[in-house]
Amino acid sequence: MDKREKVRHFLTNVLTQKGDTAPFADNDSLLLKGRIDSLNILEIVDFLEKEFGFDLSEQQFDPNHIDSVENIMRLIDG
Amino acid sequence: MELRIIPRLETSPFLLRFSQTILGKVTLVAVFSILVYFHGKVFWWELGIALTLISLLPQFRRQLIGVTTAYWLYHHAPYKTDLVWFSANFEAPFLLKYHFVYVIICFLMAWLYIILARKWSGHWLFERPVRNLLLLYIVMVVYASSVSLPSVIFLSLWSILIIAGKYLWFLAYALSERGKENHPFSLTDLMQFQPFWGNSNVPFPKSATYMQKIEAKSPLDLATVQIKGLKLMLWASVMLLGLVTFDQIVYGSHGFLEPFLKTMPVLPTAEQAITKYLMGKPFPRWICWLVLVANVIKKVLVISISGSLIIAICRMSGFNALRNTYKPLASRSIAEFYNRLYYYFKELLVEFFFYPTYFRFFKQHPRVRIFFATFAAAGFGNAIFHFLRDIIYIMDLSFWSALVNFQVYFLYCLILGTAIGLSQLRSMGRPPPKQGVINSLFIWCFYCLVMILDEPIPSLSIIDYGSFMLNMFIPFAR
Repeated sequence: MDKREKVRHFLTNVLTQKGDTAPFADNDSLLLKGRIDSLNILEIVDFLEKEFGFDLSEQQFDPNHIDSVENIMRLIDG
Repeated sequence: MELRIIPRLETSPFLLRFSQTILGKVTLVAVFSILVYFHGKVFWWELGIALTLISLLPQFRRQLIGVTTAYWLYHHAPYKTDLVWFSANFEAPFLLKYHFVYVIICFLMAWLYIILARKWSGHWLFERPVRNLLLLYIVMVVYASSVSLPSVIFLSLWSILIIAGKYLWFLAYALSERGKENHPFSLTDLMQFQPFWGNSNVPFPKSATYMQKIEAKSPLDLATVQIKGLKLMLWASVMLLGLVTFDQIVYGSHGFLEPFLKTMPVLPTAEQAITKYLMGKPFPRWICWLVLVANVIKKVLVISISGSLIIAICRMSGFNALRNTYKPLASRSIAEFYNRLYYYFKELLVEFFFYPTYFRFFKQHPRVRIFFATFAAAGFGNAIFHFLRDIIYIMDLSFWSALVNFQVYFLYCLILGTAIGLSQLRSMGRPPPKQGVINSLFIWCFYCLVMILDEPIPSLSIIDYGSFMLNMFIPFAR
């Protein structure tokens, strides 16, 4: 599985756990659409820390930077 | 098939087309304003005019919101109740007459602080500007309440503190965004602190940058979001009717149903139940339990209605904001209930207390990390927010006496923070529990017990409330 697929798979899991099975595009902001909230953002932070070794506290943290596949990929590709 | 009280009007092609015509926009706003009137809002017709202009001239939306906010502040400012109390108690009627001058002073100070925080973001004073802003505000409140000052300085300082208190969290959002998105801070942004749909210390819907993101970008977007606004207002009206009926039947209140429905109170209020208990004449335990249940139902309805009203007006102004309260009955955990009940307050706590704690402490201990950060938000942040919101108590009693007087609310925050923290821990790494009867009953029981502490009678202590709550479970002889 490549990085993008891993991210998409993870976000799909987060949404499924909330009972949300609707499809989403890579550039859909899940926060603005109300499909994830700031507590789900934590799960994403945890995933990024474990999977890609990110330390988001070193940067000025903005949840909007990790609320879509595209934004997360931008962060990963740095 | 999903049962809906209000159908999905925003998907109707006819309504979407109609709402993009001049007649459609005017009709939508007119129906909306009439519903606002039924919610007892005195500025309903001014609101109607403002929303019509905003609908017809969306290219000037920001400017029109700024002008409407200025008008609303002048006539219906959210800090007026506190200022009325203050000017009456200190015989200073000029405070009310010239309150706008203090607002301008507060805005200038806020603007200066934002500019300084942006310019010297590396300086230790502005490295963590929100924390320092809160500290500065608290120090000023302590100073004003403990030092004897000449009358004019005393009155001016408190007036500025009262007004600044209403803008504190709006400013905090503006500061937290200083490095994000290269968003330049303008005077229009400042005018959108506490927009005219507000009347709460909680920023609805969060910050200027957030508003930019959810703003309707096309006529179709605007039509969709305005229909959603009208739908939310209809839902708020259904809930208002429910609340009035509930009040009339349960508490025998004198609402507009009185001419048709004369009832005697079925239950005492929570305040009456506690007072009677402390007088040694308690109501039977089953009545006390019903009192707690009724108390929660009423609070949930009040929060839902007020939040929906604010978001409905915001949507009518062209911003596709999320609802403040969303199906709290569908919650599967204590943490989820809190999240669904008061979304924007929870977001404030997460942004200013949860994230900073989460990224700073216990990185090697995931469970401690999540519990500690949750407690920092739902417990500590919640306590600070409400203590500073009720500045009138501090003015009246002095800072330290107000702290003591706030003990019951602090207990509420301690219990809530711990419970939400444990609820978060429980949900870590496992799918959310099913929404069974026992689970729902547990969540409701918890909130029934704890919500009696969130608006305590100021003269009562932790021991009074603790003893009342113990009595709910164990026969207790006072």
